[in-house]
Amino acid sequence: MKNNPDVKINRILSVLVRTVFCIPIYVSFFAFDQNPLVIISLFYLIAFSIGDFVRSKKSSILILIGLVLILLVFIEIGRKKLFQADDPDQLNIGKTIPESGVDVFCNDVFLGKTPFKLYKKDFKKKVHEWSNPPRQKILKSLFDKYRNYDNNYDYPYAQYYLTPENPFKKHSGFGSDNNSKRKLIINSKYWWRFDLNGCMGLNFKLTPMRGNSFEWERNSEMIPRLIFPSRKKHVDYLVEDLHDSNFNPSDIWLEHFKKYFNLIFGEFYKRVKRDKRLTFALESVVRSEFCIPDIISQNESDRIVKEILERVEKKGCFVIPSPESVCLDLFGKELMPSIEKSFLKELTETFTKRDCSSSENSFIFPNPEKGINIAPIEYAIANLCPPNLLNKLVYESRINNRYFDIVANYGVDRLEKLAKNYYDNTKYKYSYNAIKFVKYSKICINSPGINPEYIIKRIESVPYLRKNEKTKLIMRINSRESIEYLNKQKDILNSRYRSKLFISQISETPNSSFDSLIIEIHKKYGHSLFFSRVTFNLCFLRNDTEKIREYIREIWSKGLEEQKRLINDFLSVIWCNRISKYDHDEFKYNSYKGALGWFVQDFYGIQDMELKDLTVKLLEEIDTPEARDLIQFWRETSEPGISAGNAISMIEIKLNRDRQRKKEIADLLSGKIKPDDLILKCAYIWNGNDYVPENDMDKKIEKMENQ
Amino acid sequence: MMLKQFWRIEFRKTAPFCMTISFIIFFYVLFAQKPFGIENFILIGLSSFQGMLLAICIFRDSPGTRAFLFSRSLSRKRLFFYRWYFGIMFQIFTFAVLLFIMASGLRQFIQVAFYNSTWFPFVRWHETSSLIPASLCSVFCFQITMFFILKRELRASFNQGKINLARDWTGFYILLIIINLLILPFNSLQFFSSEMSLIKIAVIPYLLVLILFTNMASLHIFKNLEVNA
Repeated sequence: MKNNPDVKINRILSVLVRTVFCIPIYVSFFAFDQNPLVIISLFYLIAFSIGDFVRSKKSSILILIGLVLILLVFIEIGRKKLFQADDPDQLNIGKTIPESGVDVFCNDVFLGKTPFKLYKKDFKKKVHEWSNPPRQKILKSLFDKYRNYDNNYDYPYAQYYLTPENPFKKHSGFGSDNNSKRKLIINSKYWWRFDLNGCMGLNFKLTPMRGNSFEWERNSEMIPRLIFPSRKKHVDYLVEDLHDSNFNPSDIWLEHFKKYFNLIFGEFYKRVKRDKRLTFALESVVRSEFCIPDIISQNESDRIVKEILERVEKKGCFVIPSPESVCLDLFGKELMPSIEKSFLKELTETFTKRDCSSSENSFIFPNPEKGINIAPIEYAIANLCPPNLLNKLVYESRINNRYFDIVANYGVDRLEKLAKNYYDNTKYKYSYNAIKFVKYSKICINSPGINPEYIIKRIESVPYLRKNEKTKLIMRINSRESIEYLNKQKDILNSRYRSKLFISQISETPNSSFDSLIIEIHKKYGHSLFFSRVTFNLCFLRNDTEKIREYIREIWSKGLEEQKRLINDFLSVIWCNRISKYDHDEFKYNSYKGALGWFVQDFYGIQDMELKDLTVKLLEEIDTPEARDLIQFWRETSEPGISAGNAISMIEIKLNRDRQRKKEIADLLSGKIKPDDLILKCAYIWNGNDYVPENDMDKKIEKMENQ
Repeated sequence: MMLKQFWRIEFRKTAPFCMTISFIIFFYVLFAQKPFGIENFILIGLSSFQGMLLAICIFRDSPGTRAFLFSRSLSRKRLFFYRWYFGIMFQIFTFAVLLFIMASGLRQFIQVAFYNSTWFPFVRWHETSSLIPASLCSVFCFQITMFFILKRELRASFNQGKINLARDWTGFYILLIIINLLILPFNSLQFFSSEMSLIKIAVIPYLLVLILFTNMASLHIFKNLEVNA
């Protein structure tokens, strides 16, 4: 039987079938090398392969092929493991910081631009130890040590950031007391510096803060926490120049912006959010960054989307806001066909990688190995809601709730039942679910067919929730219905807590139909410390009705103290909201004027000088022709020697300063001065015991800064 | 014969078991509430089981039946391919019915009417994609089991109907089939989706090669089967 040709053919065919049969298992070694099932199956595979042919001499070749295949698989797994492993000789620097392209220096030797990998070999070759702490161009101490405190070594921000030994080693043993900190600074041999577009970055925390000890864990990543001191002023100047040029960016302006793109983009975007008139400039900047033509063809659209994805992949995270996200915001509609195409492609490609971690609000995907490409696409789809993808997204949401979050943005009638189903099945028990719960509540509210009362009833019916928590949850749903619901309860006025929630809610989402209630709450709790006066006044400004105006006039007529308080409060609102989250959507530039412009006439009767001073500051902010007329009037009518006084002189100083600023802006744009020249710098040197200002002038500058 | 007799024999052997499984699959597809996706292991499992059962029912004969069939004028090659066609057609019939259930809106109607399902009509067409891995696995299992059953029959025929347990690979075959079933649906997606363009188009050629080799090997075995009636 052994020499029977049929048996031989039979065996060869068996080998072929078995080999083909096992191909998916072999392939899975390459595709899913961590799958334990595959590893187990390997042992069976060996037995399976050898078992039938061991008697056949000629089949030894086939066994050999099988063994070579298995060997190759092992080599491949080993190779993958080797390269994926945390290499102790390499350090990822600045992989997930919002700014990209930061120049990293160690002991003033340029190492690379973030994000990059630093190898121990290169580091040792390039960088030599420093024996003394370097001169710091800027150093922020936690306390003003030259006035109230003894020497301390707390420096929240410094130009140079220290690592005692090379960053590939683990260090510990430095305590948080002053002596240890001093020792740490003296013993450190490597000093890191971070610049972006030639501007100095300050790194957070030179020495350990109170209560912490210094431990440099040899990490695979170094993520500096940077601030750029000149950035704010730099952007202020650019915005000011735009104001002067009627919001049309000049070529010089665009060129300048491009030069400092990475540094100032985020800050500039914040300004755009506050003042929509800057949008055109932002659009121009993004156009020039991504080379976007006026009319976007299909090829161009594909190129732009590809570039966005490449940038995100290179960066390792998708940050909002970033040039990529803004490009998608501004040109999403034109890019939609390419985005849809990429979405469908990515959806398949990242099938096994879809569990990428995402932050609820920021959409930052810190792990580049887990489907980072999908992030910008999902972001664009969530914003623009292309109808073609609705069915696909709903289908995908069966295994991944994140897709339902995107679907929620569609808000079409057909989704109501689906949303309700999700909503009914969400159990509010843990904090994570609470966020989801609120989210679905919002979805339901956005769906026109679902009665908000149903949602409120649903919240009311949720167990584990105290009354206050339920109220809070209802208030978190930004809708008129939630306020109406609270209004119906009729106990808002009786509950300080609910009243406070109501005021903060109504100041966020203005609704003029509640003006009487606002007034009643102010009458009852206006002087209570439990309430923020700033929020009250913001609420007045944002819910500007005749009733509210009458009420403000009523307060104004109560006497000098009330008048001072009112002006102070309005000033606080304006100043606080320059940096607050509410200050957006042209509110600052239009609503303040609109909301307080009517009030200017009432200021004509002011006699008190102190009040005049305060009011002039407010008029400066209101900045309407009426307000300017009033300032001019006071300036002309004020008696010499009696100032109306200081404020008017301050306006003159301000005018001079404005002229100076104009010159600085021109110099900045033309490149005569650098952004870092705009800030006051106070250099520090190490005197052997402590960092001290380099000279007396620096001490003065530091005092000025502190003041 | 004879074809009429042949089909009658095949149908009698196959229908009680395979039609039952088919109906189970139909009912499952009609009444399962969660939308179907490629990750639906129940559908994949049932389809694979149907494929295996089909191969067992079709290619495993009682000695009497085999003696009867082999003594007719129909060549063994034709007999083998008729049987193979029968198996493939049966699977095509099952999946065609499933496609009809999903695409015609029958499933949607039942889901909405009985369960007040909110998934429809969004998922109606997308659900049909779940039939791809299920049908691939069904064919895969049918082919492999066919080869295995015939090989086993051949061994048994050499040993006068007895199986040598020491050289019996049944356990390994079943295990490998299960492993493959766990891997194949996802690997097939990986094939389609992988960045490596070679692998991208590999699933269909893979199945074609598998069908070719299993058919060649099975036909060879089928020709050499001895009748121990």
